[in-house]
Amino acid sequence: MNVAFVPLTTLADISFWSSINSKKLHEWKLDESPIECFAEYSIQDFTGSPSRLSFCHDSFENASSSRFHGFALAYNTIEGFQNVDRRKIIEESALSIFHNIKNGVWLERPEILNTFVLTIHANLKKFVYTYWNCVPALCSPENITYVQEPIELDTGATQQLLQYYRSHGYPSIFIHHKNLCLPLSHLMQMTTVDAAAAYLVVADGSTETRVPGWTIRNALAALSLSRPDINEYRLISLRASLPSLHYVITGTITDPSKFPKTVGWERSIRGKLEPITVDMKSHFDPHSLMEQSVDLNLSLIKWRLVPEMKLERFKALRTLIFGAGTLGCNLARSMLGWGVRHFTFIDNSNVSYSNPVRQSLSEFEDARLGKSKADCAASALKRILPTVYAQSVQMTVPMPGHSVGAQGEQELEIVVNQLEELVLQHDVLFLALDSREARWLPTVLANIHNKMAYSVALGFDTYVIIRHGVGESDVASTSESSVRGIVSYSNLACYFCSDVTAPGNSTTDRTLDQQCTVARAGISMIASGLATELLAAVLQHENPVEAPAIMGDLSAEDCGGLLGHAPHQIRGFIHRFQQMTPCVRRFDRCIACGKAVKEAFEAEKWRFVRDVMNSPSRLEEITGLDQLQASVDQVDIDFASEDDGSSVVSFT
Amino acid sequence: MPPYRSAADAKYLGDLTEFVALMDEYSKDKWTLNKSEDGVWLKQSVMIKNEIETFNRQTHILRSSHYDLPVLWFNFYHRDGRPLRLDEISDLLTKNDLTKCSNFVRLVTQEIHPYYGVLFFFIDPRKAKKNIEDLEGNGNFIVRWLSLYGAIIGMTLPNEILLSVGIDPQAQNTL
Repeated sequence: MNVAFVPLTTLADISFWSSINSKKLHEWKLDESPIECFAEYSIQDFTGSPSRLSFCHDSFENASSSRFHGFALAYNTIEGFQNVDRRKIIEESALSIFHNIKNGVWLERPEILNTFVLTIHANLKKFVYTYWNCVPALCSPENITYVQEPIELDTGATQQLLQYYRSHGYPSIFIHHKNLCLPLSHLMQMTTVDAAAAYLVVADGSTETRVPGWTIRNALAALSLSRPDINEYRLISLRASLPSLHYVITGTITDPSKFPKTVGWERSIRGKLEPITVDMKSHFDPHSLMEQSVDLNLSLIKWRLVPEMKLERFKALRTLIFGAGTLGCNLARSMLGWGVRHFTFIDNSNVSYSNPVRQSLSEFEDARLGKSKADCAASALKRILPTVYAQSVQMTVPMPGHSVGAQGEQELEIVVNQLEELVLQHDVLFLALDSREARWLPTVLANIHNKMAYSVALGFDTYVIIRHGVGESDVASTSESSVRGIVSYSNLACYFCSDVTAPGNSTTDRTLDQQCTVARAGISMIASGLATELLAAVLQHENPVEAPAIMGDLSAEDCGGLLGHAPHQIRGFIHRFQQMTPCVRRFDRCIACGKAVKEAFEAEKWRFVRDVMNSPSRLEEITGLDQLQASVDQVDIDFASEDDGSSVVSFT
Repeated sequence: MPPYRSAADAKYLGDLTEFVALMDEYSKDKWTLNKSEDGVWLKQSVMIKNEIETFNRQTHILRSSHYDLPVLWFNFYHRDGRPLRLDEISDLLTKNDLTKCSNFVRLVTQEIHPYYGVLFFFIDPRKAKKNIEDLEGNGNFIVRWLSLYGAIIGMTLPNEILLSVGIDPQAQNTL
């Protein structure tokens, strides 16, 4: 049988590269001279594992001696790495082994036969590492064959050898002769007869059952070169998990003083003589590390508490936030915690000095420089999480009652089209604007394009969150569901459904404190937090766009999704710390989500918007609300006689 | 009550050293003693396998003054040195029946390793607080402690070592 040896496989984990990163940057810098390096090998691995030479963070610290002591060469450029004279490197290293054999140093310190030269190129910008290791092995004697092939040693004998190995400081080579273990230093004093009969015990990291490993090669070379009087070499591969092996090898030595041939450059996993490249970017790049840590955090919530949760729904969600003020900032800030990564802010104003204390994505400098609110919000999100997608749009949303003259029509057309395009590009809208009329156009567009929309509004000590109905109103199910108290998503009211008049310009004649909502400071965070959790509850329904709402007491009906109920509205009154969750059906004549309005917009687009801006009563006309109002005047409430106490309503 | 007060506590050092010697004698999975600025810590590197691949499991026992207990840090690596994610480790351990712990992810957190500067997992001692009573008793504290915490990541101690501190190998406590 041909004599083959299992080569060692270099295993370098991320802690090794971490050490390289810091040493290259802080200690070695551009110096390419050899650095002392240490690698672990194991005699207790099992079949199926590689015969490993392990490099980790401690590889540049001199600790225990039972390791391979070698050198690392870190090149500054990939060309430098590739153009290295590899023949020269391996021969220089092998030559020093040869000298240590010739001058007898190996007899006192057999571990000197185990060495390596690890060539490395580290790209510290991309965290890509290229390396190629060589473990020099002297090919002596030549033309080796087995006189006796490897046979497993019995456990009793192995135990005796391991006992000696452990109690004598883990010598990598020692002698076993006449049932005794002896230090290697005895080798040169033995007679030819004894030397020929003795076994050289070598710590062997081979993980093949019947094949010796790489460390045997230099031991065999050393033995053959030191004792040219013997020509059959008895060896034992000492292992702690797999059975140890004993075998006899023979070969030819032409001239023991001549430096033998050397092999040892490692082959890649494909069996070729080539370097290995690993990309460790995701383990060192800080942006990548942050993404992973955040993802792990969310995954832990999922694995520990709600295993069926679909976190990817947050990650894939594209949110469009109207208003980058107190509410807009807090909404984005809390959605970030659920893994939402795509935000677009729309606002028309700049940060003023009173804003930063309440608008959590702005600060003093922004106010001093008068920066755009939307820009600041987007930039702040990116400072918090660099891998987030955050955009800003500087825009004034066209509003009913805010007239536009002929000269503004061209601009209006552009704005309306841009707004419609934005709505199409996102999955959910948050209406966090500071006036009622500003919410009109976004509501219309969300309804037309079947996008989810959440209105969030504040009063001094009140808040309201409404999830607008999505999809075609399903009249058929209305009667059935009203019995059970469940209202489908498509039948839910929007922000305007309860209004019987069109929104008009509410900003004229308002005092300063009425022009921007002045609310109790904590309310914005409460409302934004609730809106975020309402979104989460909806998203974790089996089919989010069909998430129904419950009429009445939420705990009564079990119609919740994975995270529980998703009410239609949440209304809070901080004055008495109370909250309620009303459910209101959509109004078919609504001036925002009604069918008539939808059709009018689809037909005339920006022109319809212009008409409404100049004359909000247009909305009342097309929806038929004006007639409804007129009919109210015709109602004659007859406050009847005292005896039956009832009121009678009649229409004339 | 945790039995140690400070990192320089002689018994802790004695137990660590004794533990390394015990493992040397009775187990093939060796530990090495390392020194750092904060004191002494233990390190082990072994191979673990499933049907497809072999992995390198590195385990460290570090002293934590914060928790006044040792802390078990670990990573599992692929052949090319890339570490496994938490769900991959959980899969590896549960599918190969290596862990007796039913809810592995409950006890594990990820942090930058104090000495290595890369992300490592560790078993959060706060999560396992209720089993502190199991750590009472004579003999080598590290053996007692590792018999509980090591089991979470599939590490078993040889019977001889367990018996030396009076733990019945059959009646293994689990976290």
